[in-house]
Amino acid sequence: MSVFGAVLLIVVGWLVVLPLGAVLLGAFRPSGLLLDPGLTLDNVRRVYFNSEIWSLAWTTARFALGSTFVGLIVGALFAWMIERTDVPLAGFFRGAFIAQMAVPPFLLAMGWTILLSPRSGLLNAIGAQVFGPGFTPFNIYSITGMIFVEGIALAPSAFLLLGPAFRNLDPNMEEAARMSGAGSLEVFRKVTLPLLAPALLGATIFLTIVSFVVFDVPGILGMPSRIWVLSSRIYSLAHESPNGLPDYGAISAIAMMFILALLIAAYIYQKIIRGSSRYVTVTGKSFRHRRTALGAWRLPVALLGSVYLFVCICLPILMVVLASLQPFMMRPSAAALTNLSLQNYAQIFGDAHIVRAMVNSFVIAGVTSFGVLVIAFACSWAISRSQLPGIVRRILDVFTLIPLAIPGIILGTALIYLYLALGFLGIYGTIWIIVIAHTTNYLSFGVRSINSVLSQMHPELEEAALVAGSDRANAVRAIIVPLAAPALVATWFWVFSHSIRELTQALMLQSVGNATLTTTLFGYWSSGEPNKAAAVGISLFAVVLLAVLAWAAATLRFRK
Amino acid sequence: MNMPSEEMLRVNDITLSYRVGDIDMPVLNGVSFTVEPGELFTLLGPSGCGKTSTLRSVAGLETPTSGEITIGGETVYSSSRKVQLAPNRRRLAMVFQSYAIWPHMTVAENVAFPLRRMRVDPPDRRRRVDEALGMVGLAGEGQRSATLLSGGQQQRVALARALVSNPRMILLDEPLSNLDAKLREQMRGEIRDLQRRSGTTAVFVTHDQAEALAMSDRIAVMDKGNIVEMGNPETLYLRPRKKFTAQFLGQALILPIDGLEQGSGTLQLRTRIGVVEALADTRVKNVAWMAARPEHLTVAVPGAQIPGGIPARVVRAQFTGSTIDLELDAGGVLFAAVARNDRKFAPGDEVTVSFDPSNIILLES
Repeated sequence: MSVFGAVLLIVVGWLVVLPLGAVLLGAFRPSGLLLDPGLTLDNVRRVYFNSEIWSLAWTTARFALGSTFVGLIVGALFAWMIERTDVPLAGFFRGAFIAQMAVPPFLLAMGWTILLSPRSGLLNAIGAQVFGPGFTPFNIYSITGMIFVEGIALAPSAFLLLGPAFRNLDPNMEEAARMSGAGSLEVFRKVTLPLLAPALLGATIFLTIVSFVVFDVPGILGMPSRIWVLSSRIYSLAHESPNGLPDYGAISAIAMMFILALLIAAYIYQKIIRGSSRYVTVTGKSFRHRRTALGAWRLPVALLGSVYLFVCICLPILMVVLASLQPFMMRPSAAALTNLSLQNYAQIFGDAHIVRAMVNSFVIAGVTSFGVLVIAFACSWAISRSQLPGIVRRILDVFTLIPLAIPGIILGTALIYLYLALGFLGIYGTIWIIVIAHTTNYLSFGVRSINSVLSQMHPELEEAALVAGSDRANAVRAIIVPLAAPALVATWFWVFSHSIRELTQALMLQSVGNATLTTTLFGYWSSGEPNKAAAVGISLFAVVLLAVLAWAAATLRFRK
Repeated sequence: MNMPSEEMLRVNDITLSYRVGDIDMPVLNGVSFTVEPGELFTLLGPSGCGKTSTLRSVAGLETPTSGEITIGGETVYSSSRKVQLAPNRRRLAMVFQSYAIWPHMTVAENVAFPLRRMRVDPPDRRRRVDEALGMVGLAGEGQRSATLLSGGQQQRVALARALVSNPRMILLDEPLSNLDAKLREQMRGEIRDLQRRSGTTAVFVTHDQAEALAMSDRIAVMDKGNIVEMGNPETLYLRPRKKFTAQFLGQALILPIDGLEQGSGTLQLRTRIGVVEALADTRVKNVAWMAARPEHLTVAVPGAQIPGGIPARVVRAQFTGSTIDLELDAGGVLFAAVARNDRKFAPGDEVTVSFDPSNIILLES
């Protein structure tokens, strides 16, 4: 086996397998820490012979399935509207829906608390004024509120996953069914739905995995009212345990069950994605799009779409913008509007700590995105093109998929164990531990997205260079890299924008010297300074928006 | 040219198998052949017969399981001596089925690529690129983007890129299969001319028997990972020794031989449709089958009799212009025959068919 293969195995093993092993083994250590002596089943017994774990699992499942359902419905409705009907301004709707990806979920959650918190929420206050005091039906600090906000946050991903399936649906198949005498409802049930089934199923599992492990929304909306899901519970065990010491043993024991469930889900997801290629409808074959004529419903449908975008996305962000311009939280009024100033921004940009956090965020996102790009490209090429032994390629394929199933919060914990144990490396407590966490986290996305590009590239393009006198390295440099460049750039932007807005792991791995913009924001928010938090959030949003726009531009260029 | 040894390519008993799960899937079961300098050698066979794997093993893109390959006397692969020369060090050129024209380069950049790898200095490089483009009829097209070319033009660029470096040998993997029928016929002639003029040795892979017959100096017919038969086009078509060759190359009526009587220099073959006379062929050992090409059958017009002819009924008669293609039924055996275009046949006509003994093909069991 070549040096190249060995290096890749070591890098990927170090990033993925080592932390996973640290968590699983930690469950059987009395202290929960990898290198501490002793073996015990106490942690497992403590966690699993306790009704709390089962109510935790139940709440997490309800939250995950609920938000998946909401996200899927919204995403599918928009996919249908944009790809399959003659709705006006379809291009605008598509752009607006994809641009939502720039909105960090915690920003959305902050906006909704301003709108819907039980006592001070704007909408609740309006309700109380109209219907009399005591009318406060909307409580955002509830499982319903969490599902609602997470569902909105998942909708763009659902749209991106479902859009191509809706777009590539060959209308001939539906027309053939109509010609065979089926009514429109029957066509939908017997033809359209089965054709969309793989994409729907794949999107469902993907969104469920994501919402199973997400921390932002449960952290901001669930924790204040002590509604625990997996991720927020682990956070509280690490930061708020009664004796002041993180309960690593319990964390490991909880993590075991979730990792197992998620690995199974990821495995099924992979199977479905592979299997869906059997549906020949999604080929490169060109056909003319036949769109459903909405007739009299054209304007109402467009209006409904606009209202959703305004109320569910723009309004909460507007609230945060407004909050960022106020010295303290005020209900919108003429008086409040005269009080607007850039004072919060001046304050945070003048604070050396926050400037430091900003630099940290940029360094972390910059190094992570380059790291992911290099490692993912090497893995992707090794998996799909190299002559490494089949077993090595399969191992790389599986290892790079695993991070998708490791919740950020558990990976964060794992890295704490690992780099506390490997203290001599001096990584614990620095920004580099966050870089490692993010690199592992986004490796799955990087490998999958580069895989899809490499698999579209005919192997003969590379072989032609080999026969023409290039060695492997030169063939990759002269042929593959230039051809894949637009996709590589797009991947880089995606990872950059996700890394810079990532909260969960940065929070878990937070220490004195490695604060980031997101941990600073979370700090302000949880210590009762929402206006400063809002200013940090909006600054971050601006950066992410720029990165997402660049990403979209790169993706569009690549499609051409 | 440097040729220390007589043959340009020697492939010696190479085997190749893929592991699928727990089973070894054999692809090549001991393939051996040699190619002389300047020759156009064709590997012909149905898809999955191993012809492309053989070519890719020669190129170094595939590693055989065992055997030995030498190019111009240099061992490039040997399982026993653990030699496996990388593709870029074999000094070959290859034309791929997909052409593999790099879309991010211009036509000239594509063609110049092998010269860059050989570190040819720029003025010399430009001259040779122009020369190669001229050879394939693309003079002056060098600055065009490779993505804007038609299929036929991409094919020419691929050829220019292959010829530009004066390779020891050029490998062609089904280069014509993505072209439309008319262009295919034209490129057939052009490739053959280019190869002759440049004196390059060529190994050609195709599943198209007409292409193989028209272009090759010699053909190896492959089936299921083995070379079934090797020879020049005329011999393989007119005097094949294996049933597979007779079936795969052109059309033929093939009948099992039930009994056989020796005459002086002739054989009387007893078959399902009657006794057929053939000239003895000493090359063929255990005669088990006979074959006859449609164009070697003589069909008498309805009513006319040929002494010693076999009676048959016309099932279908198709006027194609230059000939009349007939499908005949003799005692339940369906076979094709060709008649002159000035005769008249209709389905149901009773005719007699006679065989020319010198063109009856004897096949080994």
